[in-house]
Formats: sequence, C-alpha cells, structure tokens
Amino acid sequence: MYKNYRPNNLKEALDWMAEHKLIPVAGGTDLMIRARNWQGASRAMKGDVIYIQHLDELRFITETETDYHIGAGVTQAQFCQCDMLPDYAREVVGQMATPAIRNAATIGGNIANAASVADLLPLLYAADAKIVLRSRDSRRVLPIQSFEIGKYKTARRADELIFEVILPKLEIRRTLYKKMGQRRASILSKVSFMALEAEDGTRIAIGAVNDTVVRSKELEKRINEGGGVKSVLDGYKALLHGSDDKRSTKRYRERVVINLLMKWMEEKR
Amino acid sequence: MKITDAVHRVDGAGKLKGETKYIEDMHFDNMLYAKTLRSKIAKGRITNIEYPELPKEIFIIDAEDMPANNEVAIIERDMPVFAKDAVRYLGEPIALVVGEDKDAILKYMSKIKIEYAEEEPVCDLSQAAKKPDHIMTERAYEKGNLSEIEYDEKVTEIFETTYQEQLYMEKQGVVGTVEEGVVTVYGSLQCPYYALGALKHAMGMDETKLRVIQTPTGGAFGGKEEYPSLLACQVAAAAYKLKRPVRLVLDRREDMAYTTKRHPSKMVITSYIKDKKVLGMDFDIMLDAGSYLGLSDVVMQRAIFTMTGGYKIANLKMRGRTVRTNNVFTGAFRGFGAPQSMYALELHMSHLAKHLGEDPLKFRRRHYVKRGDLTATNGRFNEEIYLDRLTDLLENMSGYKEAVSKKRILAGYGVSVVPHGGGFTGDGEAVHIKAVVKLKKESNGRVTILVSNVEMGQGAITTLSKIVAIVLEMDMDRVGYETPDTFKVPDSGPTVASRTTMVVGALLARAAAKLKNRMHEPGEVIITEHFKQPDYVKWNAETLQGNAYMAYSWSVLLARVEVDPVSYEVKCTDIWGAYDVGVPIDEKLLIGQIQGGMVQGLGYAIMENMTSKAGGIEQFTFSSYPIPTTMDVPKLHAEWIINPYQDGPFGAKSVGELTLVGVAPAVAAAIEDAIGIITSEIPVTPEVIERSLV
Repeated sequence: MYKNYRPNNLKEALDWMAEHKLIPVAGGTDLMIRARNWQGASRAMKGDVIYIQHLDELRFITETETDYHIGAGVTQAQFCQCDMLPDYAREVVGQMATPAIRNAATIGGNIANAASVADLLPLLYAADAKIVLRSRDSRRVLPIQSFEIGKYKTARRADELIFEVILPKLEIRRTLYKKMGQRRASILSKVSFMALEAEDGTRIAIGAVNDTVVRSKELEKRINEGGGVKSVLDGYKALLHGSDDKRSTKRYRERVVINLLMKWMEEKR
Repeated sequence: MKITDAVHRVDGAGKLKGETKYIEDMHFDNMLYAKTLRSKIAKGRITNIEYPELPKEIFIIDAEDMPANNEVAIIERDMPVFAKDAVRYLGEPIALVVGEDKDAILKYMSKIKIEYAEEEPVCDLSQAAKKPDHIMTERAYEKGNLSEIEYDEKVTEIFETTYQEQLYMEKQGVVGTVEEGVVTVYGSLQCPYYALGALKHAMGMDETKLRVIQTPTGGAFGGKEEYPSLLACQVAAAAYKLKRPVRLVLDRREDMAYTTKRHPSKMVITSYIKDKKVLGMDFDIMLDAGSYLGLSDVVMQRAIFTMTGGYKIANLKMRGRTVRTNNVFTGAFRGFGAPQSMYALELHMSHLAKHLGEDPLKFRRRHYVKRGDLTATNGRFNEEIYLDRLTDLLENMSGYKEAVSKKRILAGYGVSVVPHGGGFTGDGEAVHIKAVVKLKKESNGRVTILVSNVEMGQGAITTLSKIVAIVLEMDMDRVGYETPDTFKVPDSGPTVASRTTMVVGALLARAAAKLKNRMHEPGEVIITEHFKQPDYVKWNAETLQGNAYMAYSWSVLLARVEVDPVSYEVKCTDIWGAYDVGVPIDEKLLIGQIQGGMVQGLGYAIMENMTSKAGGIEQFTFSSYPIPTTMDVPKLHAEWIINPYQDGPFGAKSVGELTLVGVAPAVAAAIEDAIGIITSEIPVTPEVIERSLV
C-alpha cells in the first residue's frame, strides 16, 4: 500500500515534497492507468502519492507582452477553451485524447509524464517554451529541451513541482500540424509533426518517433536559407531513430515525416 | 402493427438507466474472488510449482480439483481446464488463486514459483502448416472437374488476414456457487447448454446436479460462445471444493490477450477464366487454431462451404485446414470463417474484373446464382435469389454508375457481394442441435417464452417477443421471457450462427400459432415445439455434399474512401448496403445490426491490427488495439428488399453476421482504387499502404 497526501495549498505541497519522496498526481489520466491492477485491488503505485489537481495556485492562464503563462494545473479542456491562447496551440490540445480525458488531464501532467508520444511536446519544442519548476526553497526555469531528458525522464528534482509553462508569443505566419494515430480520435500518436513559420523562420518539431522530440535549429536554418531539399531531408533522416512496435513501423514513421517535410517546404515556394 | 414496424427494445430501458445487473454487479453472500495463475511461456513442460504456505483464506484450485475430468468438452476434449504437466500457449490457465481479499491474492501470487522446461514454440502459421502433426483437421471437396477444363488463363493470389478481437463491452465473467446441493454457474454467455455440457463432463454429474444461468450479457459477438465453458468448469470446481460462491471476472488485458478471437488465415485462390468468366476455382485456406481445436474445424467448414459466395462456378477444388500453433486458441466471432474467405473471394473478384478491364459489378453479375442452381457443395438453392435486383438497388441508391465514371483523385470505390447462410452448417440443426422451445400461457393470461437463446445486445428478446405477440395478436408487454436457466428452459440451441430469429423464432411462431387456439383454456398451457429439418435440406457430413445451409441472406455493398497521400491514412466516407434478409422482424433492429456490422467490418478492414509475437498477443490494450470511434464512422446507407423465406418466422432469414462479412473486401478494393495499389492482406493500415507504394 501507499500513502496519500492531499495538500491545502501550494506551500503545503512544496513542504511535503521537500520532506518526503512523493509522486505528484494531477489529472491522473496516465499515472492511474499505468498503476493499473486487478480491478478492485489497490492501485500499483510505485510510491507515496501527492494529489495536486485541486490547487488553485496552479490553475491560471495569464499573458505579458512577450509570453503566455500557463499554470501546470490547467486542464487540457481549459487550454482549448481559452481565447487568449493562439489557435495553433489550441488545435494541438484539441486533438488529444477525448473530451472526458481533456477535462481531467493537465498541461503540467503531459509535460512531467514525458511520454515519447506526448502530444504537447512537439508544440512546446517548436515554440521554444520554458518550464518553471518550484520547490520549497528554489525556482528554476528550464527550456523544454533541457527538461525532457528521455522517455518518461525529466530534469525535475524529487522536491520540485512544475509550476507553469511559459509559451513565447510568436508571430505565426504558417503552421502545419499533423497527428497520425491508428484511428482519428482517442488514440496515441504514431507520429506527430509540428511546423511553424514565425518571424524568425521555420521551426520543426517531430514527436513520437524518437524517445524525445526531434528539433534541429541547424536544419531549420538550412530550410530558411533555401538550402537543397535533399540535404534537409537527409539531415532529418539521420536524426530519426524510429522503431517497429505494436502500433506502427520504423519505415512508416520516417516516411511520413519526410512527406510532411516535403509538403512544408513545397508550400513555402 | 406490421411485423417490420420498429418497437422499443424490451431490454433497452434497464440498460439505459443503468439498472441492469451484470455479473460483476451481482451480490453473492460470502463470495470469494478468483484470479487465474497463467503460464508465462508459450510451450513447455511444467517441472515444478512451488506454492508458498497457504495463508488463511487463500485457496488454490488446479487440475487435481477437477471432480471427474480435467477436460473442457467443446467438440473435442483436447483442452484441459487447468494445464497440468504441459503448457501450450502463453497465458494458459494453470490454477485459480481464490480468496476474500484481492490484494492478499495478488501478494500470494507474486510468490508462487513455476519452473518450466521450455520448448521451442511454433507460432508461425505457414511454418506450422508444413508439419504434418500440426494439421488438426483437414477437409476437402470438389465439384465438376477442375483438372480437365479448358481455360484462357488462370490467376492465382494469396491473401492473409490477422486476428480480430470481439471487444464486447462486458468482459468475460462467471460465478460458481453450490445452491442446495446443485453446482450452479452464473455467467455472461451465449450458450447455457454448451456450458452445461462441459460441466457434466468435467464435474461428472448430471443436469439435476448442475445448473447454468445466463446473466445479462454486455456483448459477445461469438467471444462468449465456447470460451465460457472453460471458465464455467474452473469456477464450478472452485465452488464445489470451497462450498462458497467464487467469482472469476477477467481483467480487460487478460480478456484481450488470452481469450478466443478471430482466426488468422492464409488463403490461396486460383481462378480459371474462359471468355471473361470464371469457369473454375481452386481455394485453399488454413486457419491458425492456436493450441486447441475448440470450434476451429466448424469455422473452417463455413469458410470452405460458402467460398463461392454469390457465384455459380462449375468446377471447384476446395481445401481447408486447421493448424495447431502455440498461439492463443482462436474461436467463434461474428461471421465464423466467412469474413476470411469472403474477403479473399471478393477482393479476388475485384482484381479479376480489373484485370479483364471490366466494371466489378458487371463482372460479378455474369456469375450470379439463382434459385435452383447447384451450390458449391451440390445442394440446390431452394429460395428465390434476387442478386440482380439487389445490385440494381445498390447502384440506384448510391448513384454508382455516375460516381465511378467521374475522374477522381485519391478517392476510390469498392464493391462486394456476399451471402451468409443462416443456422448451423449442413444438417447440424437436426442432428446436433435438435432445438426445443416452449411457450407457456400463465393462468393470468400472460405468455412466457422458454428458450435457451440469450439477449446479448442483439435484440433477441425483443425480436422473439414480437413474433409471439403478433401471432397471438396480443400486446408485447404481455409476453415475458424466462431467464435462460437450464433448470427452467429447454435446449433451443446456442445463440450463434445468426439462427436465433430464423430458427428459434420460427419454432416460437409455430408454438404461438398452436397456443392461439388454446388461449381461452383456464390455467397454464404449455406448448412444446421441436425442430424439423425441411425436406429440401439434404446433407452428407462425410462427403460434404448437399445443402450446407437452409437459406441464405445476401448483401451487395459499395464503399467509398479517400486516402491521404502524405500520411496514407484512409477515411472511409460512405458505405452503401443493399440487403435481402427475407422479411426484417424489426426495421430498427435491422438497421442496428447493419450499422454495427458495417463499423465492426470497417475496423477489420483498416485498423484492427492484432498480431502475435513469440506466442503472445502484442495488442492487448485499448491504446494499441483500436476499434472505430464515431469519428471514424462513415455515412452508412442501407436499403433492403422484401423476399419472404418459407420457413422463417414471417419470412425472416438471418441478419447478424452477414452485415460484417462483406465490408472488408469492399473497403480494401476502394483503397486500391483510390491510390492504384494491389493489396493482399487486412487490415489495410497506413503502414500496409506505405509498403505497397514503394
């Protein structure tokens, strides 16, 4: 059995996080499933649990001149419904899971979970988002690339909670987002592809192929400079390490990425 | 009220309101939970099992606890209730661990140590088929003389299909109890008397000491035909030993990984063509039966008996084999062999039409069977067959000719023409099933239906009640339906093979007609009806010659798809279907069956990819085994003709399975048409399309 902690506020949560080794649970839409067990038996949690989905201090969406600030406890549904946030971002979240799951699942949860198929991550990589982490005694800001260090692995210290996501305001000129799954809704991604054209040029993030999202500023530069299509495609091919699994194949994943890159580059002309 | 008019489902309100109690909702005093201890390997001998000392309130039930036989009687008795010395598939049950507390059961199970002498499992169907001792059954028949015909050319193709999971909403579940000296099994199942038969053999008791009661069944699709017999034997032995109720409900992952599913198949089909007509056909099918025979031989028979579909083909050579592998054992699933063989035949027919430069429907029309023609097995089609009329109907309702003549980019059309025989194969209804139904007039004037056929979501109670009410000219709410309980209802056969309305409904209609003259009598009146084989059904089970089915229902389908050239994803936009099911007993239920069958068939066609790796099912979760959601469902268009069948109630034939069978070949052909590829396997996933494009 495991212990359950339910803090009254963020301070209490961070105090307990500092004192005990706890697994934070927000919406629980992935963690509770991974802790599945014989129905009716106790959940197979790997340690004691702290529930944070009810903390108001984590549920906010604000903006400054340069950025949006999205609290870690904001649900995916709230994200989708927020007019303040840009359409290209809301579109991504709107394709995740199902309405029922989006009502519970949080923005912070998808980031902290760090699944290789997490659909928020290509968006956050492409937008150069930053993650704000807080513990009782510290506050850290990490670029998303530095936070996501592997499949189900993040740079979060045991005493930290994700406090918010900082999504920079971009002047978006063109986007191409495509999520490939085994069906049209309520499904994990086999490949996800996010391309943005902002004021500084193309940004491309590829999810669900490697353990973490693929983004290459060098290849983006080559695209922006009008470099040869072949060299760009070869460059991306070298970065993709897809595999065959129960949902798809390496060659399908990689070919679809190449197709989307070509489409993106063709549309530019 | 006309028989075809739609009514509210008898079971609808309780289910919509959440009042219906399924096996997992039912309370039994003093009940224990059971969890299955399973093999961790696909093949080998069990050399030792080390059970730690049993705590109070934890019990082990295994092969030693079977009172009479550690065998599940299905058709053969080759499957043990609990694996004893050898295991033959990954996940095979070895024992039940039973207790009051689920956490305590799991904790105990984590300490059980099983040692195996592992052997190399045989998991590949084609490899297994090369080993003579892996051929479980083989059946063959011929018609005409294929070796002597003159032909212009012959075309050979190989087709493969994979597993399909029934994915009923309610998982497999049973409860065993001992009530007043009677071992009783409650369960979510299709065939109470199959379970009773298995219990008699395993427990060594007769039907007065054994009882099976069906509980509300939340979907089955064939998955609860033979499999619950295994579970029933397990909980019966547990309840008998412990003298307490024992509940075994599988978890979803267990259910998806270890229970029966549709047979993977490999088929080779060769057509001999003369003057743009198929003069002869050679068909060979092998089915991956898994480790035990189960119903696989019967599934294979349906595949080969209906293999010529709606076509008159004079010269045939047919062979079917069931092949033993160390994969999970496969079984009944809506369509029962026909989804595999009709996929191969119909996609092959589309390929032949294309090869000959002809419209696929026009090509098919030249081969259509009609009343009086010989079937593949040299029986005679006894009923009127209106395939041309159905094809006309399809063409008109879909605007076929105009649609296919237009130039299209990345959009395609595909067709299929498919029959499905209602009821058991050959003389099975008369020789094996011998259905008996009873209709009882209560002293208060109400009427009760006594049959062993179950409601599993398909609408059986509504259909049968409606037939009886209309014959008796009384309100449907005065017709009751006794719970299928082997202490209360006669054996009217299993709820399978699209037979409930056509066969059991006909018996009830006859019983009701007799009862009608006696409704004025005081007190109770019971009418009993027995199945009688129609004179036109002649069948020789040895030579496989004669009428393989009493009557056929028909469908002609058109599918339209669009294919994304970047992601190779398929969007099926429309499926049109023209049907002949005799006379539909209820139009709303018919539409329900059509829509459900189309969607389940679409899943089989493009997305339900289930594979086995080293004997283990790889996709055993909802997140890796997709079935269509409403977002994937195309526009579904259905129309039908009225063609009364002389021996069906009010002229009804079968519906349930037909609606799934023709979908996959139509959708596959549409995908081919959209992007100019040739496929030879289902599901046609984006990965398959990508590979085919090269």
